[in-house]
Amino acid sequence: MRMLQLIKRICKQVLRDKRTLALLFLAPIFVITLLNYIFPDPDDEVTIAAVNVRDDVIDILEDNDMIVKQEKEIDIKSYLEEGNATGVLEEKDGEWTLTILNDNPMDEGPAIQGSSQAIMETNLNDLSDNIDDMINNMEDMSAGLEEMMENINEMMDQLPPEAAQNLDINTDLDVDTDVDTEIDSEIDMDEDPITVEYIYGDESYTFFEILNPILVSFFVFFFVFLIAGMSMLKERSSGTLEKLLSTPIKKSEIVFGYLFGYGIFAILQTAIIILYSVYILDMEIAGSITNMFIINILLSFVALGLGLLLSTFVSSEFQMIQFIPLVIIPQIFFSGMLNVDTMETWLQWIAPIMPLYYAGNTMIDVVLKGFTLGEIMAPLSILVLFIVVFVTLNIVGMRRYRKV
Amino acid sequence: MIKLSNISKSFGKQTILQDVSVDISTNQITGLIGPSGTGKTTLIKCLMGMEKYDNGTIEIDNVTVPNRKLLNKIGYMAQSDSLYHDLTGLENIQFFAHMYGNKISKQTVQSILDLVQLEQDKKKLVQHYSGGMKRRLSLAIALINQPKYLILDEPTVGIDPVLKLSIWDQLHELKKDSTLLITTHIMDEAMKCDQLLLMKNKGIAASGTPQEILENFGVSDIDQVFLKLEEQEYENAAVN
Ligand SMILES: Nc1ncnc2c1ncn2[C@@H]1O[C@H](COP(=O)(O)OP(=O)(O)OP(=O)(O)O)[C@@H](O)[C@H]1O
Ligand SMILES: [Mg+2]
Repeated sequence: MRMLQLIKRICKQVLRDKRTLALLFLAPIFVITLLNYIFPDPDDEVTIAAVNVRDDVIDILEDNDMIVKQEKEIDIKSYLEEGNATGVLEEKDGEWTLTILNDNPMDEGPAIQGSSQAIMETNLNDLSDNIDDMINNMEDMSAGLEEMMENINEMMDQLPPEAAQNLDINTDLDVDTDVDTEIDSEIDMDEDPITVEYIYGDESYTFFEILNPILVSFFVFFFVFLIAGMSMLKERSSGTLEKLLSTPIKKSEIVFGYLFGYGIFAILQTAIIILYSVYILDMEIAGSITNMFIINILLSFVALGLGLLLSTFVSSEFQMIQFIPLVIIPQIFFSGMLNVDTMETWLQWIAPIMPLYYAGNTMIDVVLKGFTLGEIMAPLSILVLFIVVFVTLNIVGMRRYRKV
Repeated sequence: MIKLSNISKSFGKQTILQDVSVDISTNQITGLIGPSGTGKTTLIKCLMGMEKYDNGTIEIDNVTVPNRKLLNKIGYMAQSDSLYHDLTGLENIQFFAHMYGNKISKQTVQSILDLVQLEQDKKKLVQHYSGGMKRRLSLAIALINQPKYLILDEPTVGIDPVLKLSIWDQLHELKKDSTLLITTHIMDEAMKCDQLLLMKNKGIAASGTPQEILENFGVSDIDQVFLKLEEQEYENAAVN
């Protein structure tokens, strides 16, 4: 009853505060949209300028969907600065040089990769041509040898026998005329030098596709944390928390009232972010959208609990902001963008205390790998554990304002 | 019945209350007066169960403080306004009314709004209230559960003289059903109390009706009582 009134009050306050509403609902959508368009599409073509490059290399470059501009005598620096191409490929005395500005790894990565691949392929082609030549030469040579042997044998026959014995030429000299010419000179150079097999998904994910599920969780966490923390701080600094505790309300009623009051908005925000990512930005999901909801709603309650808790340690909005680089930012690194297993040992110990570590990685499991609810039970239970711990600490923390 | 026995309270090394024992008479207005920083608010917070006292016992109706259920019987007005600025005056009143769990009638709300003369501004957001209006709203909220005990920490600061008089009349009305404990720095308000508790030096230096206190100290107003107390202190220091 009291809790319901508290929830009602919180809803009223949030709905009246247009700025908070915008922060909750528009800000994440804005940022996610921005990121969606900022990352280059891997299908975009890369332009390479070729200076003194053999035609067969150019053919391979073009086969690899690169636009090749053939140039002679250009000033490479200004040519690149003007944006005529992403890179300039030159050949001089058998040495290959690819020049790039080195100011945009996103575009330049594919240029470097494509060029080196093309050169590798031509080199392989050249090599197999050489091998063919060599084999031909060897066949010629062994034919010559055979001829010589026959000549010698003929000569021996014509010599008187004593002379032949004195010469003692081993006419059984076993020249292997069967030089193995079976070397497969037909290595199929049209195939990619390497075939990539994808266990999850069927083509290379763009960075955004991996980032997006993590970002969904990150925004849920970040904005809910901020808003819960800020409003609890306001309640404390305006004295209304103390006033509230002078009424017979239970401390747990306050904490749960806050949790559910802001929880409503957290759930709405989660829903909007997920639906927007999936239906408007066409985020592909291998698993079920329900699982995405479950992860993020649990996470939002963790954020609520943590925000409320940390707000008790600060005395101003500015101090609340100071928690962001301490509490929020480090969690990004552990949220699935980077592989925790390959980190330093002490970092691997830190990861499990971070709620976003569980949420982010589980989001990747669901969105990219299509994990089912059963498969993500373990991280979900840990998120529930976080909620229980934070709620308990919050209720205990209220003792500061009332001893019972 | 509020009964404090041998209460001590310190913040770190600073002792605020030392061995305070006092009974607060029922159905009376008791004024708690004393210089700034002597611990009036601290005493009140101990009474509410908001501060932990180090020693002694506080009992309200024979129930030891702190006790959550006791708060049903207490109306509290803090020294600083504790209002939701993004709600209207009426919404503030209604919200806190619900916190006491009882459905209060429109009539009660109306009579309280009339008492503090906020009827016209009840639909305004509190952030657009003047200082005095906020004080009056806080007072209204303290009265909302028609409490048996009314604890008001400087209730009339920033309220104009005419309204102040009418509020004091109302407070005297209220004492028929309630026991009131009020802190104030205004001496003519102190004179309107039935009982006075003078706080000085970590305890209650004098108590009684205003008249008794003035007679005991042989002075004509309460301010002079504190000057006398100060003099006594000097003399004691000189003797020691
Ligand atoms: N939470 C606290 N921590 C440390 N010291 C405190 C705390 N609360 C109050 N004090 C100290 O206790 C003393 C008494 O404070 P209190 O607020 O009770 O005074 P007061 O009598 O109400 O004064 P005023 O008339 O100015 O309201 C002051 O010296 C104050 O600094
Ligand atoms: Mg005070």
